Amino acid sequence: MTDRSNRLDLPYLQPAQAQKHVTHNEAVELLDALVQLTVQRFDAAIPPVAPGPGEVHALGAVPEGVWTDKAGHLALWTGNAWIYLSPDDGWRAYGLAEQDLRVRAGGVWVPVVRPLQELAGVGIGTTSDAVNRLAVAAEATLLTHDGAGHQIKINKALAGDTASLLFQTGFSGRAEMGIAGDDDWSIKVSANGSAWNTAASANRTTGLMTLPNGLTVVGALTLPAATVTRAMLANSAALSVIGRSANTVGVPADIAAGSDHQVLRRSGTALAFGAVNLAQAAAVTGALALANGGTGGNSATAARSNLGLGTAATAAVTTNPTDSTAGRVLRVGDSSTLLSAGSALRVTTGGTANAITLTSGATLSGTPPTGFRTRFRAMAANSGATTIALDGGTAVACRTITGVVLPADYVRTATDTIATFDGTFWVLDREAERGSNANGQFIRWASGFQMCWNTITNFSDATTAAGNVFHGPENVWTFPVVFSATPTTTGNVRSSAPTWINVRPESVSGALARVFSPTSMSTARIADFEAVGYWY
Amino acid sequence: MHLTLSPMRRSDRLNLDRAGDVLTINGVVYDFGPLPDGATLPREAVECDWLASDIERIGGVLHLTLMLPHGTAAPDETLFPTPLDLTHDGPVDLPPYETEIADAD
Repeated sequence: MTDRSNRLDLPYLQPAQAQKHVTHNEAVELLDALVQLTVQRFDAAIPPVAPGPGEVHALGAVPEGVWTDKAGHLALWTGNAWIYLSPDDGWRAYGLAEQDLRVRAGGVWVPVVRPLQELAGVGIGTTSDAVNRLAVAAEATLLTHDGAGHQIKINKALAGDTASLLFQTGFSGRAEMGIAGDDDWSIKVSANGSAWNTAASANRTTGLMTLPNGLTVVGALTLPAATVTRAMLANSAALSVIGRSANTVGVPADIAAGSDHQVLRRSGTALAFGAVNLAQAAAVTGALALANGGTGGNSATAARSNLGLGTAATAAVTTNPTDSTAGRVLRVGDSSTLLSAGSALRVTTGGTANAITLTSGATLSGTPPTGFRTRFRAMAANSGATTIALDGGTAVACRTITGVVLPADYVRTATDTIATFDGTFWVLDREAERGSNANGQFIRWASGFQMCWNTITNFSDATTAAGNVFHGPENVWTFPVVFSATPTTTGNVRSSAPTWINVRPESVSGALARVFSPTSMSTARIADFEAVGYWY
Repeated sequence: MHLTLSPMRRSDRLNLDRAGDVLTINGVVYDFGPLPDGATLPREAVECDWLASDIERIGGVLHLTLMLPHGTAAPDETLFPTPLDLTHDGPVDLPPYETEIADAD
């Protein structure tokens, strides 16, 4: 049997030992120190100047003074000397300075309660595993500040790794946000934990937020001024605006401008591009200036004044060729009936010499109104009976103003012919025709009356005796114009002497004249002739 | 053949064709060949409305006057015609009936 205990190295009493109390007290003193071991401090290096009885110090690796060479020992002050004990692994001591209970392990004092560092895992209310090193099963997890702010940091190794917060239902993923697979922030959602849709992502460089699957805003959407760029509203239809065309609350859509020069306006219950109906009072306000093609006024009087128009500009115009409403302004083409009593209406001429076609522009079909009067310039003189068809209507026979069929050359080309419809015939009036030639002068009237005359110098002498007078030969006077029947003729000799002349009409084209004198007259005289009759 | 023209405003036309002493007036043939030199054929002896004088042969040349019709606007050469000396046979080129006028409307 050894003389000391195995673990605490306490002295045993030996058989027949003298002064057993010394050995016993030594053992009690050691037990007094080691039971409920309490040290002044751990890692003690400098011995106290006045230690108290029973003080124990746990020496460190390099103690000084009387403790030199006692590294790692427990120093017990017995009241007059230090006793050094060598602690074994497993001993426990409470450090008064550290207020820490430590255990001897591996030759050093280590805390009985170790700090939560380098743990393989922590499970609170549940069990952590190799992946989920920290597992918490609780109603809530609080992470609060320590006097100021507070951050939760999720760090990943490389850009291609994932640092995110994953939200699950029954351990099936439903939402994940963070930097997953790259360094752009994103939030993804899933209906089943396997198929994921990116709801939003933010570019790490520009900060531009992208919503790949759209955005629905139920409440008010506040956008900073002048920051909504075209790219944010991309893919609108060409030449369009975004709006609501229907008269209902609903989804906005592109409202496209289909044609040039159209404007966006409300028409009925639709908002669309189209023409502005300027007839609508609400379409415009104010008066379009004259310089911009308007009238500059918003009343007929003001407009007429600005345009420099007379008072007739506000009068109504005729509505048809026979409109005889008082106060109306006559339209071109409506004048046929209304002006027929005057000579102002002149129509265009066509057809042939004896089948004349007239065009009034008034589209007077059929037989013209009785009393209708117009005038025209013939393309050719007629050669006999003539008809006129007005505006493609019925060809109506013509008569002279004396009511007979037209003779040849009644219709002249040098002057206008006046035509009056009497209900049965076109009654044509014509200008008097005046002419002259080597045989004299003539004038021919529309009534058929015709007159011609001539002056012939050196017409004849009178040297042939006949009874008590003398006479000349019977000479021919050819008329300058032909008659329709033999006219009546007269003649005079231009002489102060008592001479005379006999003129007898011979035919429609000439007469025979003879000069008489009471004495033989050898000098030829000047003679004047006249013939009066009809040309038709 | 010495032809004097006597103008007259009238609507009908005159067509002449000469073959020696034979004159065709509007299709009617008049043969003045038998008329001896120095002789006169009275106007009344010839049934021709266009004839305006007696017909004479002077120095072997026939002299006669015919009416020359014209319209409302004839040129001066028609209104105041100069006599024609016909030396060639065929249609006689008479002064125009009327001056051609542009379409008036």
